[in-house]
Amino acid sequence: MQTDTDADEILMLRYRDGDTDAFARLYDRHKGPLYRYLLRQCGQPAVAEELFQDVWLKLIAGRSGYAVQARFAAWFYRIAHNRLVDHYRASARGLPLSYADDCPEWAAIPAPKEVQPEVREDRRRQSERLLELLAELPEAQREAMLLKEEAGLSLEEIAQATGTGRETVKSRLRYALARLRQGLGGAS
Amino acid sequence: MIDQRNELHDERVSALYRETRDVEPPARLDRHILKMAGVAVRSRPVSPSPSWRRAARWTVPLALAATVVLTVGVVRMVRESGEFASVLKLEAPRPLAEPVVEADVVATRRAEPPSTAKLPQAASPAVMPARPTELSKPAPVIVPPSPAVNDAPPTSFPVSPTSLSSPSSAPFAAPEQHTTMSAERKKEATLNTAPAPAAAQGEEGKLDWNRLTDHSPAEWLKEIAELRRQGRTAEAEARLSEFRRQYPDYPLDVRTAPR
Repeated sequence: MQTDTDADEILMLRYRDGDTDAFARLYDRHKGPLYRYLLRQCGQPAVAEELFQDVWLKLIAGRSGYAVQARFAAWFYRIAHNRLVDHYRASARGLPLSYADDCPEWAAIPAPKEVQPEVREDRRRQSERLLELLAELPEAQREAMLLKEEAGLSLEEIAQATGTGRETVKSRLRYALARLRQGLGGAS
Repeated sequence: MIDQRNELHDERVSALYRETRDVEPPARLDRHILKMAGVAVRSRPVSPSPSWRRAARWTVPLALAATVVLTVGVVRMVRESGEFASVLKLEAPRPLAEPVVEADVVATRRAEPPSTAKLPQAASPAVMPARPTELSKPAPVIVPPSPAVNDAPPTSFPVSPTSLSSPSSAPFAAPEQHTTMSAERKKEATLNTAPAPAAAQGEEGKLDWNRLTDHSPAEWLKEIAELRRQGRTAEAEARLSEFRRQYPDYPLDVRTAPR
């Protein structure tokens, strides 16, 4: 549990003022969630590592201008989201359609395969299945889900980090969850 | 189980997802990023404090405002001191009477012999026409009265020898005109209008030159001019000295005064 002096924002302020130990603690706390967020969004470990490093270097470069205006995680994942979008745009595929505000959440999404009853019994395999289902989600829905599960952001913070409206985030999360439940076979 | 109270959260899905959180970035990335964080701090150890940034925000506009205020103040002071006034007023339209005066000056110059410029300098103090510091003092003028000059409006020239000695009634009525007139214009004006008061004010009963001496100053000066014209400069200078003793405040023309 974080104390007042251990909060992300305090650690970042301390790092801004030159405390590298504060940065080390901040890094240790956020490296895993950020890496998994990037890995599951782009699907390739090499690309995820490159993006991961870029995000942290951006944070280091922008430390002198840091001021507490929102929760640190929302600010940090905003940097990550922007870097990810840059990566999408630079790729041959371009920015995924699911990021468009007017994109219907169920459009062009293949229905999940029927879940075999034996798979449901095996928890480990269920986790693997969850990751498969997650990878099949549209990027925008998956991002909303990852920001909720990995970064622990609220609806408002996800909206802030991704630059979208609260209702859009709500809709993405709702559809993502429904799809995962359906794919896992125990939702009904 | 699905949390029915919140359609945006499924505890079963979240629990399953937590089991997948075993993926971490490679250790080499950790080392590289931590090293970069330390390098950044060492390369710029002192970060600007918020108060300093706040100060920097208002110092630039303040400096600009101070510069503007100082500039306006200096310009106003210079203008009030009259340094620019001469330039400005020379470009102002001339009074309507001036062309007449100038025409008279040209006529007077034509009538005068060219030798007047070669007069000896020892006879009397030279009159420096363009010195602003001397403008408050009456400039000596020796000009034979001409009928044309009497037509010129005697608006801004001395009315009596006694008044000439007073700084407040200097040759030009308005102090601003002292500083604004060029040397040549002042000389021309003096040439043409100095005798005018004698005539014009004689009519008004304010001045009677004949009461001061047997010769009127105009006649006396005419005589001196005639001597110069004849080339009898020594005699002319002697008469001029005598004239000056008699009429120390009488305005003498620059061109006719000995140099």
